[in-house]
Amino acid sequence: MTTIATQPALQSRTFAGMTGRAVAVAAIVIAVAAALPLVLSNYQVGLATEILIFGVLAMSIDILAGFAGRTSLGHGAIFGVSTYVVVYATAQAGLSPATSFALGIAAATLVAVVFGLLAVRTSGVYFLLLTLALGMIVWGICLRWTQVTGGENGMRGDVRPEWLVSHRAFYWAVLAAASLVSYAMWRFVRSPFGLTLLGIRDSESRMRSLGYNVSVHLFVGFAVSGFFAGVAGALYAMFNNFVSPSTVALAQSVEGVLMMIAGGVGTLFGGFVGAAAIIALENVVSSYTERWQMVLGITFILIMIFTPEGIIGTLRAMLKRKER
Amino acid sequence: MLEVRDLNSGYGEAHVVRGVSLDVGAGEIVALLGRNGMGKTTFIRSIMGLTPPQINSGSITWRGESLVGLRPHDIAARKIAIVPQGRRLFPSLTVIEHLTMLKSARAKTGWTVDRVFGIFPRLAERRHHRGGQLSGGERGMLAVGRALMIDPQLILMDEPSEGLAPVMVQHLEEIVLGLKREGLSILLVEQNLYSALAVADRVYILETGKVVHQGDAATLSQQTDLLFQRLGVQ
Repeated sequence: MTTIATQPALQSRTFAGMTGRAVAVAAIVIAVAAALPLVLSNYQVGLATEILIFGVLAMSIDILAGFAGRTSLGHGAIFGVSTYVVVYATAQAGLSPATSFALGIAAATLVAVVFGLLAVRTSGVYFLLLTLALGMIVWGICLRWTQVTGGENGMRGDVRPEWLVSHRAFYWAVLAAASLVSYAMWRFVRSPFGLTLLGIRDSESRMRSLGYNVSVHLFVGFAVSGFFAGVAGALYAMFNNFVSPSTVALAQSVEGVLMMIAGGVGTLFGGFVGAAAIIALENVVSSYTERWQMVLGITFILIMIFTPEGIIGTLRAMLKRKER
Repeated sequence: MLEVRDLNSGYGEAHVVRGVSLDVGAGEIVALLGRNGMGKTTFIRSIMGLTPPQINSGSITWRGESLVGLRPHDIAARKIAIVPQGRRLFPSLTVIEHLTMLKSARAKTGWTVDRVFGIFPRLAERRHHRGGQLSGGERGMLAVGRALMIDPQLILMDEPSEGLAPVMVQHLEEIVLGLKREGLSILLVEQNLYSALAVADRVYILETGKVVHQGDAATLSQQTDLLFQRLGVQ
C-alpha cells in the first residue's frame, strides 16, 4: 500500500528565477542594446528609445491579451494619462521629474483600476468594445478639458532632468528602466498568480470550479498591466516633452496591440520585437513614400496570414521543429 | 464535518437532486454511488457552489457553517477541494505550473510540490509536460495533486477512476486510502462500484436524485441482491 512519502522535486539551478541560459541571453541582449548608441546616430538612438518605450507598452498589453485572454483597446489611454500627468506635473505644477514620474504611473494605475472594475466581467468582443469605449472617454476628456490639458494644442514642457538631456544618457536610462520592468513583468506572468491568468485564458469556468475568483484575478491582472503601461507612458513624456490628445487616442491603443501581435501574443518579450518592426517600418517606409500607412497595413495583413503567432512565436516554432 | 440535509437542486425546471441528506465525518471516506444520470455530479456541484445547478432548498453545512449561497472560491477557501469529472486540466499549463498556481514552489507548509511528487513520482518525471500531453492516468494524478495544493480537509472526487486502466484504478485507491490516513475526508462520487467499496467507509446509493440506500461499505459488499437491484451488478 502506498504511503504518503515525500520525494524531493528536481531543482534546476536558477538566478533570480531565471535559468543560466536565460540569464546569458538577457545579458547579451542588454549588452548589445547598451552598445547601440556608440554606433548609431542621434536620430537612430531616438528611434531605439521609442522602440524600448513602446515595447514596454506592448508587453503590458500582452499581460492581458497573451496571458489572460483579454485584448484591451484602452491601454493607449492608460499610457497617455501617465504622459499627461507627467508633463502637467513638471511643466504646470512645477514638481520634480521624479515626483512627476511617480504621479504619472499612479494616475495610470488608477485609471486601469477603474477600467478593470468595469471591464473584467466581460470577455471577447465585449471586453474589446468596453475598453475601447473607456479609452474614448479619456480621449474626449483630454480633448475638451482645455484649461488643464491644453485641448487639441496639447502641452509642452521640459520633463527630462538635466542629466538625461543627451540622447545617449536618456537611451541608457530608458534601457535600464525597460530591462527592470521587463524582468518584473516576466516574474509576474511566471508567478503563481500569473499562472492563474493563463488558467483563466484556457478556461474561465474550469478556474471557477477549482475555486478561483476569476473576476478578482482579472482585475488585479488589469491593474498590474495598467501600472506597466503607466511606466511606458511616463517614459514617453520624458522622451517627447510634449503630449496631445493623439497620445491617448484609439490609434495609440491599436498601435500597441499591433506591436504585441507582430511580436507574438503571449511571448511577452515579443513586444520589443513588434515595436522594433513597426517603428522601423514606419520610419523607413515613410522616408520613401507618402503612402507608408498603406504599406504598413499590407504588412500587418501579411503577418496575420503567414505568421499569426508573430515574429517571436514563429521563430520559437521553427526552433522547436529543428530540435526535433 | 460536512452535513447535507434535504438538498434539492436542479437545472431550471429539471429537479435533479431530490431531498438528499448525507454526512461526511473527519477522516472518513464516503462513497456516493449511482448509475449514469442519477444526480451524482449535480450533487457534488451543488456542494461546491457551482452554478448551474441551482439549489432550491435544503442545507449544506461545513464545520457548522452554511455553504449555501457561497461562491466556489469562498468554499475552496474553507479547505474544500474538488477533483472534477474529466480532470479538467489546463492544456497550456505544465504539470508543475498546475501545482504552483497560487502556491509557490518554495512553500514549505502543508501540501507542497515535493510532497505531491512524492506520492505521484510519475508526475515528477512529467513536470514540464503540458496538461494536454498527459495520459489518462497522469491526468487523474495531476487533478488529485492540484486539489491537494490548497491543503484541503475535504476532497470531493467526481468519478476519479473514469477511463483509467485497472492498474491505475488500483493505484488511485491506494492514494485515496493514503490521504485518509493523513486525516483528509473524502466524498467519492463513483460509478465504479468495486473501486468505491475498496476504499469507502460508508456508502450512499443515489437513484433518480434520491438516496435509496445508505450503510457500511463492508455490509453493502455482501448484499448482492441490493447491488443488483440498485446498480445492476452481480
